[in-house]
Amino acid sequence: MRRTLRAIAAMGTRFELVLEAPDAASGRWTNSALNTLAEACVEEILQWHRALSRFEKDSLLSFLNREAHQRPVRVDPRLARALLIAREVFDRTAGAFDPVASGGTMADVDVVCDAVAFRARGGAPAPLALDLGSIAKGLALDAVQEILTDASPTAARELSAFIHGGTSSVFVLGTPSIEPGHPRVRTRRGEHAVPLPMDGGASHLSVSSARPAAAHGTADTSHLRVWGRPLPSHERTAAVRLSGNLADSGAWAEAWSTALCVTGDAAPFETWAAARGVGAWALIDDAQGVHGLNLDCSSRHALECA
Amino acid sequence: MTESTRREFLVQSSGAVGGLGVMLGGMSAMAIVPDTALAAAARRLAGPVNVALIGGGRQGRAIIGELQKMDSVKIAAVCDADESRANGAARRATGAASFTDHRAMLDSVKDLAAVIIATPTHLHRAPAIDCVGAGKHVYCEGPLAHSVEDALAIAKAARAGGKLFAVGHEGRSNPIYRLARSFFRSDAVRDVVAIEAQQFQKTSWRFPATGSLKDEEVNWRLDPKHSLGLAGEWGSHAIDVACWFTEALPTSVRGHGAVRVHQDGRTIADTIECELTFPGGYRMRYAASLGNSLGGRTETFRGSNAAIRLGWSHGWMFKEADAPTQGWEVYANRQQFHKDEGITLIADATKLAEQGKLKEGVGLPNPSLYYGLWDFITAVSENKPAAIGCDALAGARTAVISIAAARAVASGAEVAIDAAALRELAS
Repeated sequence: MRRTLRAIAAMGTRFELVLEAPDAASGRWTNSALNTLAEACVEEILQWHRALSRFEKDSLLSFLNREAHQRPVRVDPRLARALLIAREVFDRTAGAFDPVASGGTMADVDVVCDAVAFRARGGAPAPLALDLGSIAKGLALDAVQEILTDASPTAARELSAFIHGGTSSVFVLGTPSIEPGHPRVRTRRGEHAVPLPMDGGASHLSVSSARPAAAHGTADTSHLRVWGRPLPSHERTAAVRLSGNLADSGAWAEAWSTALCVTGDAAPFETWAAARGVGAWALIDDAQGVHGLNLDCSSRHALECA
Repeated sequence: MTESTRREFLVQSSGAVGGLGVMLGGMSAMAIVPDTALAAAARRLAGPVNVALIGGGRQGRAIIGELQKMDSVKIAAVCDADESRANGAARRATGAASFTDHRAMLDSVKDLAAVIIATPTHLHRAPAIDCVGAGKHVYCEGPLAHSVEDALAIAKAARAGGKLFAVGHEGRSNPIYRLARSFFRSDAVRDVVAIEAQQFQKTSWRFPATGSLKDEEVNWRLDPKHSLGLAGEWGSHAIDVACWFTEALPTSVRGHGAVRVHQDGRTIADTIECELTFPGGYRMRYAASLGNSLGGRTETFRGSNAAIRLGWSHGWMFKEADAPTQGWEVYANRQQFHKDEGITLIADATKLAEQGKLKEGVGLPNPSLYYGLWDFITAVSENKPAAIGCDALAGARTAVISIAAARAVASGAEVAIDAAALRELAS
């Protein structure tokens, strides 16, 4: 087994990446080739970090927030797609999930033909402040997935990968040899094995936690983490509500984990998953206990419900 | 939180400079245009400029991203020798046609006003000369060429073509660099003591081969036959800034380099230093590495009265205690760097101060690449050659110097700048 590891700081957290190739594929996936591919993945994450930072004045997101209320702004089709995802989750949750931080709502954001425009309100241009922190990591992981699947065609899958951003956004490709076997979500009520297929396909897992305002902050900070981590990283802390879900794209997974966390209601996610035909899973840990979608304790990939 | 206080919070929390900024009394004549005015100007332009892009790699894709911000540009076509990369880049520029041969593109696409060339450096010559020959305005990424012969040939063709020809040394278009240069040219630093520049980034410079491309085609930067290495691919931009500020050209360069980190069989250095000697007797020291990221990219001009430090999107002036004081300094924003205090350079500060928006002027609102492209598009659409930051002559001179720097790094010896080539360019 050939293996390469990378870690970078991006999007306010630490991304860690493991790429693996079996010895049988050593002709194609030399150490150098694996390293090169890992570098490309890292660079892609950094590019999305630069594009979507709301703290950097020269980022694409800052440009959108400055300009899109005055005129349509053309964007990378992948960003347009992510905004359409955000809009759909906004609609399906009756606005509970909303990446517009101020000035309006996601309903005021039009995305047409890879162009983004903020809708005028009351006849006047309305400056909005988009904050894509809720889907940015998923968007970056989708781009990484694109690179990896381009490099290793489905017909002859040779690569496995495990990548996470801040331990809460996870992308798994193939069957990486992660410990202790599967990623898990640890809630206040115990650990829950995440039913990642690990069958050669690609899966995204996202976990969100709601943090109480500092003025009310008495949260238990010891219970939340996603693990199966290949490299040392910091523990996540401070959560009062936890949600997790599995989807076939990082942007979807991120949007839904935030939405589940905000609403505490798995029904909209279930409707979406049925319409999309994905075997999705969702977990909510809140005052009502652990509940969600497809929490089948008897199945092979069951959650170990507390 | 109100909008203004939210913005203040975001600026402060991002580590950017808050505060007043530099009050530029008497600086209103400077050619610094705030970004809001740039956007307004873009909308005023008569119609979209049809452009094509040759080179659909990483830089080409970055160029597409910046061009898409401009109302005044339509990307009509994208060309790359690799079909999948051409198609991929074209998908990012909605409506653009895709080509694998730039001559076929020039023949097929009508109403093409300008072409932007973002191929590997050693592959600039053929498309540059062909585009000029086809009567197109050209923006060619920097460094202009990897050989003196190519630099001279491109510059000669650009001159004969009679169209606009810009080279992507973006420092000359960067509003903060322009502001800093105006200080430099007005003797604010006084006698030049030394120039220091650096670029540090932890990266391998190695990329996976995709599509029909072979490894050596994708990783041309690691091939000494084709690449100027760090001294040229990165260093040429800093060298160009130094030549532009000082209005002088170095006469010789010493250098050395080594593979310090990326022991993957490459022979081109991943860590270098070089020292260029200028006619005034002062020297420019340039250091770059792919093995460490501290400090990133900066250019520093040290003078007997002050030093100017430029960091791509930000700039500062550090005054000596015995330097004459000017009125505006009392109100200037300052930023502490360990034991030194820098005055923040803000483009168009006087106007922003009048509008109560000085804090918003700290840092550039767009990447430097945007300004280089914007100058070119403005020059094309308004037929204003003077709007171009770096023209073919300046770009060719910088290439000649950078080629010498690359040779000095590779040989470890002192290399004279090719005076004959510079004379030929001047003639």
